[in-house]
Amino acid sequence: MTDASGPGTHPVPKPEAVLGRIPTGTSLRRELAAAARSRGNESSVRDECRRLRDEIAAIEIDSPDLAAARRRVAAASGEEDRLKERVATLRGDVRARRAVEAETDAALDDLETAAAELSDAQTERIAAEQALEQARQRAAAARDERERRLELEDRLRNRRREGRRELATDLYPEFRDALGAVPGGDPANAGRGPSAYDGPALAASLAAARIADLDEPVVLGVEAAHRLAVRESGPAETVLDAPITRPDAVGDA
Amino acid sequence: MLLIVTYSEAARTGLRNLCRRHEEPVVRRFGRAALLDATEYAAFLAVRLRESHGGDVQIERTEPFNEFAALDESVRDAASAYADRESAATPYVAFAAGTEHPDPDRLKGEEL
Repeated sequence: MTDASGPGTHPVPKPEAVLGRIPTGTSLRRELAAAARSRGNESSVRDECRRLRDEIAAIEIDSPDLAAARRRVAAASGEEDRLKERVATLRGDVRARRAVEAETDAALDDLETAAAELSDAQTERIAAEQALEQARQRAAAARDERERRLELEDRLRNRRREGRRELATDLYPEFRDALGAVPGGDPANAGRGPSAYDGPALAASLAAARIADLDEPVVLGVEAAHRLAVRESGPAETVLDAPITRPDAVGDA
Repeated sequence: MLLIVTYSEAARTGLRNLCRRHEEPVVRRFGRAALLDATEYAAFLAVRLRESHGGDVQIERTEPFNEFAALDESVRDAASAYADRESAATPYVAFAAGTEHPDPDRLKGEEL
């Protein structure tokens, strides 16, 4: 058995998946990185991210069935204990019969049968323990691979964060200008970078969508649609520079 | 106690949430591992985590370690003598050579 899924192997989201719905529910840095990607910008870590993703996808992990091996040991030990008790009882029985000089043939037969069963049970328990030990060794080796995959995933996540930071920073001057063109936005709120933005999140999302080059219409929530509707500076499509789907058209908000 | 080690992002997050929600059975947390106390409830939490994340969750049962019960005096003496050695750079194998202290290869071959 193998398994090779990991959250780190998720591809970078399409820009439309980040900016196609406002409010976006994500950070400004992610919005700006998506806007940058929609325009074909690439970060300097892109190749490394792809390499890491390929490396993660190529990891195959052996998953020995440890649960079955543990269950077998537990069952075999239980059976062995049960038979040990039975042998002890039958021995006592034989002794008691001898003490009163009673007939022992039947009791000895039972004892012999139980002793043979106990011997089989012990053999099975030892085999089960050996199988579990082997499965544990395989699992331990597989954990090295799991650990490696986790390290690669952590590295990939960090590289992607760097990439987003880079893309967002490159686009920031344009974003600042775009804030002046969307309702609630003000270039004075932009600050020096995405973490310094100090204005309404909705205005930032609108500005990010405005500078993005999206292949699909933007779906507006109620507040975003309302903001754009009360604005005097022309139709919402012009403000966002993109086709728009209004909340009444998609039936949710 | 129960030692739980995780090997994926999702399992690590699951363990973190488990520790956050159930402070009582958690003895100690380390990055992507945790020690839980030896109760059926803690074991229930651990097994539930493994049900969700399969081989990305390792559960081991630990035992308290008593060096006075588990080790010969010679091993304990060697440990304290080596900790007190004059030269920090001396490897144990050189330290033990020609003394009464146990040979490291012999120790490696001995199960506790």
